[in-house]
Amino acid sequence: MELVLPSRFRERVDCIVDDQKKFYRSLEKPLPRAFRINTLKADKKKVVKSLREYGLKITSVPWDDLAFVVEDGVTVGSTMEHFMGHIYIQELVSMLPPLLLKNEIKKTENPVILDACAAPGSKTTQISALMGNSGLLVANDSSFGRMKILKHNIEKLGCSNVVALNRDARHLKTEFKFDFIFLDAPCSSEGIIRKNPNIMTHWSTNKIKWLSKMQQEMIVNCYDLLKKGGTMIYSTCTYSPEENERVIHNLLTKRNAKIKTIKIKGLETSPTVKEWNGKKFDRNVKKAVRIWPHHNDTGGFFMAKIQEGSE
Amino acid sequence: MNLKPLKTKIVEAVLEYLENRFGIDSGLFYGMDFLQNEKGRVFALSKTAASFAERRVIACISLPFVRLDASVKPTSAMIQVFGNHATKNVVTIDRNEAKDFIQGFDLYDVKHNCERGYVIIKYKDFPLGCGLLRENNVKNMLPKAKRMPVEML
Repeated sequence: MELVLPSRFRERVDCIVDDQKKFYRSLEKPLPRAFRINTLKADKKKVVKSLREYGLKITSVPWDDLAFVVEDGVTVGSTMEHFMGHIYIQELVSMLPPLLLKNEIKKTENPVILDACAAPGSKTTQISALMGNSGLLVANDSSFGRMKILKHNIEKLGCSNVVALNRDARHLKTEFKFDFIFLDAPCSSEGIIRKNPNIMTHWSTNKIKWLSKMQQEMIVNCYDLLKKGGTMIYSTCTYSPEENERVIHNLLTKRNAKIKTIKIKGLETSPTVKEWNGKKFDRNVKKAVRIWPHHNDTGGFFMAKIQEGSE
Repeated sequence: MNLKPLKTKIVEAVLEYLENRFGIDSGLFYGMDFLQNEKGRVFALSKTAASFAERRVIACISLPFVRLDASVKPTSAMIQVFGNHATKNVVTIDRNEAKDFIQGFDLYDVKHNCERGYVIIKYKDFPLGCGLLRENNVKNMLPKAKRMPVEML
């Protein structure tokens, strides 16, 4: 079936994508099925051996030693490892934000971390595994309905350092300050077209406008919850500059934040947009990265690494 | 959900029960704190997480550890994490029984060397969850949300 995209969406993306043909062709391909190994409950070698014994063809991913892709048409959803929570089915780009702070988290004793928009808990459980169940991981989400799936996942994956809150990330206040914050903001989800083509039936520039406003409020509030010198990862699964570069630019005008360079070995990343609708972004915004689906055979993604700058 | 710390005496009693019933060494839980909700469910979590959780209204926490009412019922979530440390009252089942158990069916005429009461159901190296043993039958205690069909095992 041919993928139908709004013409306004095409106009907007055509201005910022490096290779339009490859980009649109990639959107018509189904997304590779991926999973990661949950080190809270399982040993990587044992799991890989077991899955291969079932006859599953799995291949490792160059940028993440715990992530694997399953051959087309095969599901790992009916394996014992999935039932036991030894593996977690998750899109490859969705696994990236925790990887950006992997070393910092492992070096920090009893880290205190906030996952500001946590449901359904994919990143939460991945972060908890990086923490080795130590310290505190506050998993917040404003949707009461999505708390059930978050609860299910943190239990299934054996997390014992997660406390879930049901608040709006724009107004979340705690007496705690956080070493690290993950803000995977609600977005127009243009980057998940490959996974869910129907997502574009809800697409509109008005929606992007109000999402951008909400994201700008969220990022400032979350930034204020960082400890001195603490680090936040801002991410979305969308291409809209209003929801990505604009949000980071806005934070830089309001707070003394530092944007850190992002490098992930084995993953092709692309530069950010320098200006949009005639407005130039702060030069530090270019330290953030975009991930296009045709570069790594993934969904689309945006990430920025932000350090609290008062130190 | 409102949580309060589980009294030290009750923590000791729960850990002693797990040691006596299943041979699970209480030293495994060193560094964990235990909180209880209004329904008698006890959660085990890191000390930092416990001190944060007990001071506010929260949506949910993990890890559900045991349920306290007339007796101590270990949760399947706890068994899946710590069950491989058990040395007794473990019912080892075969492939077909494992498929049934994971889908939520009770088990009948199982071979075992266990005492009546709560047991750990295990297939190969996988502690699947909690069951209630009465003579040779096991009542399935796996929560409905965890039940699913498994083809590859």
